[in-house]
Amino acid sequence: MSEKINELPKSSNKMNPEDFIKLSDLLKIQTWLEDVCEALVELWNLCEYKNEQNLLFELLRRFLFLDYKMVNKNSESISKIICDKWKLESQSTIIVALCDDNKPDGSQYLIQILKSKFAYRYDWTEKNFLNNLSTVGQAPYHLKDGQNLILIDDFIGTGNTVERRIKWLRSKIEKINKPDIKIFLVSLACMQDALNVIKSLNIKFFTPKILKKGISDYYKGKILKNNIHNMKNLESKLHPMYKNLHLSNFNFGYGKAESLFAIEGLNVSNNVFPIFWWPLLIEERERNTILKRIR
Amino acid sequence: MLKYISSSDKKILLELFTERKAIYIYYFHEKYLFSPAQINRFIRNYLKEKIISFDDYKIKLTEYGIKWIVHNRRKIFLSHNKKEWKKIPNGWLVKINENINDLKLKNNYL
Repeated sequence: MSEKINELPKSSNKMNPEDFIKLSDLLKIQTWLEDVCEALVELWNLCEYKNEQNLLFELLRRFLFLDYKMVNKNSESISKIICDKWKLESQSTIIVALCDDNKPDGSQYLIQILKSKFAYRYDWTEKNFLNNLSTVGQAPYHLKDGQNLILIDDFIGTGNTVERRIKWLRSKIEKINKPDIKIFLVSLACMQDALNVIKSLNIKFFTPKILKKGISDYYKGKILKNNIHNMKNLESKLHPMYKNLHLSNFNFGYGKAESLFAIEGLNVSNNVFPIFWWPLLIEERERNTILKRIR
Repeated sequence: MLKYISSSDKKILLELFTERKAIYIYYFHEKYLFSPAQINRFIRNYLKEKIISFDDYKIKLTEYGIKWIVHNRRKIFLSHNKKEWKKIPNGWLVKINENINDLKLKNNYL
């Protein structure tokens, strides 16, 4: 009983009973919000109308937040798909993070976790894993006839990045004239709208979670119209510029993806509604956000 | 098993123990400014241990909970997280540039 954990902070202001109960209900469903309760209350107080609060409640209630345990569990199922369903063998398979520059990203986090899931599969070694797409082809065994390349990413929002990188990889394969190289794709989660883009790439794909758009795919008619209005109103409280980024590119999430997804401890995807991560208010005041994204 | 009892947990447990009735969770926010997160974490942890029951936004100690508090009363009510006895009084501290011999001259009793 003596082990010390981080004590949660008290409230800085008294809430009315209705708001308090509503936030308590939300915390019961999404316990990860406990650690960002101050930011949650700040977000709640940003709302001018009850309808805006009701929308935020609904969006956060449906939010998929993967903690380490869930990432681990999903990585296990990814490894099973690769080995047991697709039946890919270690001698002819390389798993590559989709990252293609010198900036660390979520795909590298996932490959690091995924790697350990192959530890009990005797034939697989560290050689089967690459943490950067640009390194593919640096060793002769990477791109040989009959090779399988599995690209992995933590999250696919619009599918545009995946499309661009697979096209780049295909052109590289064409240049060395090795047509018998197969490309596969896996991700922890993917937006439903991105599935069409992936389908057009004509590759095998697996994801444990397919997500719908947070507003457009959940409401219809007048309620949809009202909730779009509510979100626009909320986003109008954010500053239009932050570190040379234009909020207009991120309204309803980049590519209007309306994503409700984050992984514990990682930079949140820009496909997520900016109301949850945009750090500057219209009056040029920094805000405490429930999700973080570095620029 | 509970690994740590926070200061907010202790206050809620004391209220529940002295009142011996179901208390509306908002009361703890109103009286102590405990955040929804603090109260939610308390409910989750203590429900799991069957120390409290939670119904209609009200918390109550269970029979087992009352016995558990009596059994653990020292740890709950007599332990302080801030170790006051560890603090060195200001007058006893030597400034980094101060010579220890000068300090002896100042304090006749040394």
